Formats: sequence, structure tokens, C-alpha cells
Amino acid sequence: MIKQYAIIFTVTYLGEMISKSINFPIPGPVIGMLIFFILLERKLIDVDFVEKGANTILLNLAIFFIPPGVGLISALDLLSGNVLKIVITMILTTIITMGVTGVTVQYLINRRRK
Amino acid sequence: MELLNSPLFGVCLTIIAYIIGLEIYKKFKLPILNPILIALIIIIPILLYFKIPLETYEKGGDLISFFLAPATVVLAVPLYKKIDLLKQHFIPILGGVIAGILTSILFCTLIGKALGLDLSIIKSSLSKSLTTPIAIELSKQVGGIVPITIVMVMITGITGAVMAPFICKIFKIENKVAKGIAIGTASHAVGTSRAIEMGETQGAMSGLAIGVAGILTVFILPLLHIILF
Repeated sequence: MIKQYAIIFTVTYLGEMISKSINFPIPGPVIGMLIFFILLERKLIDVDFVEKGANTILLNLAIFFIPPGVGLISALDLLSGNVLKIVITMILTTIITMGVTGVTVQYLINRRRK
Repeated sequence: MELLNSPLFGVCLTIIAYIIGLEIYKKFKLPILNPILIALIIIIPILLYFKIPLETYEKGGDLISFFLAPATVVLAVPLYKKIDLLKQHFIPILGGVIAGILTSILFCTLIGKALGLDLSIIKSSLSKSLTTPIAIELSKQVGGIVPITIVMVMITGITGAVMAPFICKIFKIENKVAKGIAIGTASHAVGTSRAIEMGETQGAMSGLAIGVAGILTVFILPLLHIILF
């Protein structure tokens, strides 16, 4: 297990370094994810080898968002009076986004079949 | 007060609140009882009531959120395992996800401006359809407020999970691949939990869409952000 985490943390660090040294704004962790993906795709890392370590993190992924979420305390002023508007915006945009995505995929699949 | 100065305070409070949230969610299985939302509803009032400064909590909280970066990196594993699905329907999936990303960013801006929301709130919403770790990183980048983004991600996920079958019906989305991609693109992992209930194909496609939408948005959002703001 410790070797799996050695790989995961090294790739994370590498992503962070690359993110700081390029000009296009891609977050370090996302670069790390792309590197990790390429390593898996090129079979430089065996997926079976890292899967257990990865799943341990992913299984409880949600806990890592709680502390940043608690930061809401410092944004309460900004939120007051806007909660309903935010909820409405979120619901409407989710409906429209899901609809447009589904219709597009379906159209492209059907077009190819003809 | 002395006891609160240990990072263990924030660590314990976070883990306990998370377990309570998880247990409540498991018991009722309702998307609205999102474990993160419940944890926030437990922690925030405790800090406010006992007048505990955010910095005191964050001594422990930061230790936990440190793992967000490696957690984002390992998202590559589920994505890699689903890559064959992407190869089967490459063009429709890519086209659909890109259409979804553009729609989400555009309508968040339009509806937000129409309702008169503060610019920082609108910017917080631009990445809200994505999986939380990527949404957080992108929110930071475009000048959003991370905690607001997290709450928006939750509301979006809950909406997607609750309304997915209804949305598919009104938009006449019948193809299983299209349903899955639509749900994952619009409402990440929380929506995917519903897609899994709808069927195996829908669930797998929705899971795939989370990763594809996350990566593509990383490239699309900074460019669109320059045009829109």
C-alpha cells in the first residue's frame, strides 16, 4: 500500500511543479491526473497495482470537501438574500445542461447510424 | 479554549460530522440528505454558537483538505477503466460533453446576471457541474469563492439525481448512452448515483462523463472566461 501512495503523491507533486512552470492556467492536481492517466494508458503503471490505494481515497472522497465547505462561514454575508436566487440558478442550469447534453449525444449517435 | 488549539479538534469534528452525515444518508437514501451538506449543517452552527474562529477549526481542517490534490489525481483510475466506452462512441460523447460544458457556463452567467447575482457568486458557479475536486480548483482560478462553489456543486448534484428521469423525458432523451452522458456531465457523481439505478449502461456512461467533462472544462473554462468577463 505504501508504494501505491508513493506513486500517487509523487505524481501529485509533479503536477504541482508543472502547473507552476507553464503559462496556461491548469490546476496542478488536474495535470497530476492527466500524468497518472497517461502512465496507466501507456501501461507504465499497472492499474491493478494502484487500484486499492486509489479506491481507499475515492471511497471517502467527500470528506475532503468538508473543511473547504466550512469556509462558508466567511461568506455568509455575501449569501444572505441570495440563497433563493442561487438555488433557482442551479436548478435551471442543471436541467438545461442535462437536456442539451443528452439531445446532442442522441443526435450524433442517430446520425451515425443512418 | 486551550483544548481547541490542537489540530485534532478540527480533524475529529470533521470526521464525526462526516460519519453522521453518511449514516443519515445511508438510512434514508434520499439525494437531498447529502452527507457533505449534513456535515456542514452540523459543523457551521457549532463553530458559530461557541464562537470558535474559523482559523482554529482550519488547523485540523487543512490537514484533511490537503488530500484533495491526490484525490483529484487518482480520479484517473476510474476514468482509465472506462476508456473503452469512450472509444466506442467517441464523437457523440465528446460532442455532447462539450455542448454541455458550454451550456452550463453560458447559462450560469446569463441566469445569474438576469437575477442580479454578485459577479463573485456567478464566477463561483461556472464549474458547478463538475466533480468537486476539479470544481474547487477551477473556481479558485476564475476568481470564485470556493465554499460557495462547493454548496453549488451539491445543489447541482441533488437536482440532477432527483430530476434525471424527468429531464430525460421532457427532452425526449431515450438512448441509454445519451442519458448517462447527460447525467454525468450536468450533475457529476451525485447524479451518477441515480444513473446507476436507471441501468448499467447509464451508470457507466455517467461515470465516464464525470472525467471527460472535468478534463475538457479545464481547457474550455479559462478561454471562455476571458470572453465572457
